[in-house]
Amino acid sequence: MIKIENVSYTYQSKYQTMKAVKNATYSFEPGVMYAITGRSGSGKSTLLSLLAGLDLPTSGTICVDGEDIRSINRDVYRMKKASMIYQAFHLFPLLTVMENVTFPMEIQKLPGNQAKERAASLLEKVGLKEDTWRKFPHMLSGGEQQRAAVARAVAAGGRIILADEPTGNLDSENEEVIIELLKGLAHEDGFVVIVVTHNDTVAEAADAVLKMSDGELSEVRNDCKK
Amino acid sequence: MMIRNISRSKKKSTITILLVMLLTVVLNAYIGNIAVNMSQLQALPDAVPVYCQITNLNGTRASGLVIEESLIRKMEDSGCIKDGAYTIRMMGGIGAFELEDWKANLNLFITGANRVEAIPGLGAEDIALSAGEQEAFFRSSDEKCIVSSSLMKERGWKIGDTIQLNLYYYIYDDREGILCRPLTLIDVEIAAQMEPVFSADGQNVTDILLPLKTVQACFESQGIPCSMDSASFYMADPFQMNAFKDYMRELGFLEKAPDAGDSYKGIALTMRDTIFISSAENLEETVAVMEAFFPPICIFLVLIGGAASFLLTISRKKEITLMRALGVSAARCAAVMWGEQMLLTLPGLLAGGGISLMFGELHTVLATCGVVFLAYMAGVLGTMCWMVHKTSIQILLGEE
Repeated sequence: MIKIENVSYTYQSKYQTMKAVKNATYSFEPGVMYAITGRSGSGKSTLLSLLAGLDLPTSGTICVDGEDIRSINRDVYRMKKASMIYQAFHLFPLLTVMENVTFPMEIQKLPGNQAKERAASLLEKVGLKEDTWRKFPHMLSGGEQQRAAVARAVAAGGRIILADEPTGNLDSENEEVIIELLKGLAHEDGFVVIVVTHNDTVAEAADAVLKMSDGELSEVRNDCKK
Repeated sequence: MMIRNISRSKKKSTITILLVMLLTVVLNAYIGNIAVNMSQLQALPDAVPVYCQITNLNGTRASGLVIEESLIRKMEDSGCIKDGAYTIRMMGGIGAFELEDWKANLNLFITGANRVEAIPGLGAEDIALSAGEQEAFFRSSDEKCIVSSSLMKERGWKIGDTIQLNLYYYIYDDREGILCRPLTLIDVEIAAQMEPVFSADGQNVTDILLPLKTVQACFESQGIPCSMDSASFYMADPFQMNAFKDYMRELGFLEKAPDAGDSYKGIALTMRDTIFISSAENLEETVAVMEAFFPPICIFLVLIGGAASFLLTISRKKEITLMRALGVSAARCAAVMWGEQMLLTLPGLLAGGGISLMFGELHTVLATCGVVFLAYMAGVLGTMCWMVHKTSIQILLGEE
């Protein structure tokens, strides 16, 4: 589904040039949860931002469903195909949980009732009780906020979930819940789930583990190939 | 979504509304001030009319002059003067008498005038006619007259009586002085009476008033050139003062020369224009200075719009980033944020405009609200575009 070939990305500042990603080549398949590990500064987040279409590779190609990411509208790509989950949750502070989840559908002009129905079913699916739906993000615990973020990511309707340290701000109990949700999305709903993490528990739960080291991507484990 | 965000950021929304309201009121006060000055300037010719009088060259005589009728006609026809007041002064007696008997008979001061203001010392209230009747009398060429009440009493005349006037006209000669010549006999009906008219030094000014056209007809019937005794008028458009002065020079009028010798010739033009000129210059300068500040004020409004919206939305930068990350285009992000500010601006404009209506006129207030809206929203647009442009979605990654 997502195929990267010889992808390199170079940061260029006034004083230095740094190659954050070096000739990365890999295929991310639907129904698999991937974990990308590596030290800070190894290029994990850069690779994730390239996969999310936030930036374009300096060289190489990223193809999504056979289309080069350079040739498509990257706003539409983020709206309809790839959704992100962040370590700091990043829900809209002025919107309720329900409104946060309906937001991606609103911008895709889905009728209000349909959006609400779908949001309700997603919120139920991620385990958020109905009494939390009308609350604002600051009224929820970290785990609840991240569940809402997962629901929002799924609500957009894309089949790619890109998660940046999704359990970084959670306790172990909520960490498990989020891992299970992400795994469920991959295994049951056929999403491509790519998680950038430092967390061994997340890496162990993933179907495939990739490692970034000095910008070089390598596969450590892939249970799906066994 | 915009209304939802506005209602959930009540403090910031209120601040924006109050700010726009304040800006609207202040700008209305400023533009209202310009408008008041401009309307004062426009009304200046009526408030401070420029009075002109024809005198002799040294300016010592304003009546008892020889002013060619053709000059007056040219001025009237040019349209550059208004409310012209002219007189022709004569002597007269009652009924026919021989020239050599003039000492016993020529004892009445008779004046032809085209309006009551032409006769110094006489007011409209001094004539026993209504304003409309007076105007009709002075504009007519009827053989009617207005007689002083003392003369009426002395001669036992009544309103409606017809009297025969033996008119003598003046010849003003610089060498021989003032001479009198017989003009004509005319029967006139007494239309009204007036209070006796005296000059400042107590001299009797006139006993009988005739319409100017009636007197002019007498001169014409006798083939005698008619000249005015006094002439005064107002400039029709004081804003064209230089053109007016040029035209008067072309007609042959000179500026008053106090050192010149005495003369009966009405050749100098005296204008009471000092107050008008200083008032007009002051008002024009005030308007010019205030107008000069208008473009900077508009720029200031743009900056206020930009700065205020920046300060009020900077805390929502993450929201913009998040919207961008969720695939909302940069243009749509800017439009949403701009739209929110616009929705807040409208009640501010309404409130500010409403307050301004207490001291301003509707069209000025509407125009001012338009200026505030355009300038303020231009500033907001700039800020929103800048904020969206400067948004880096990558800041969401790896942020704890």
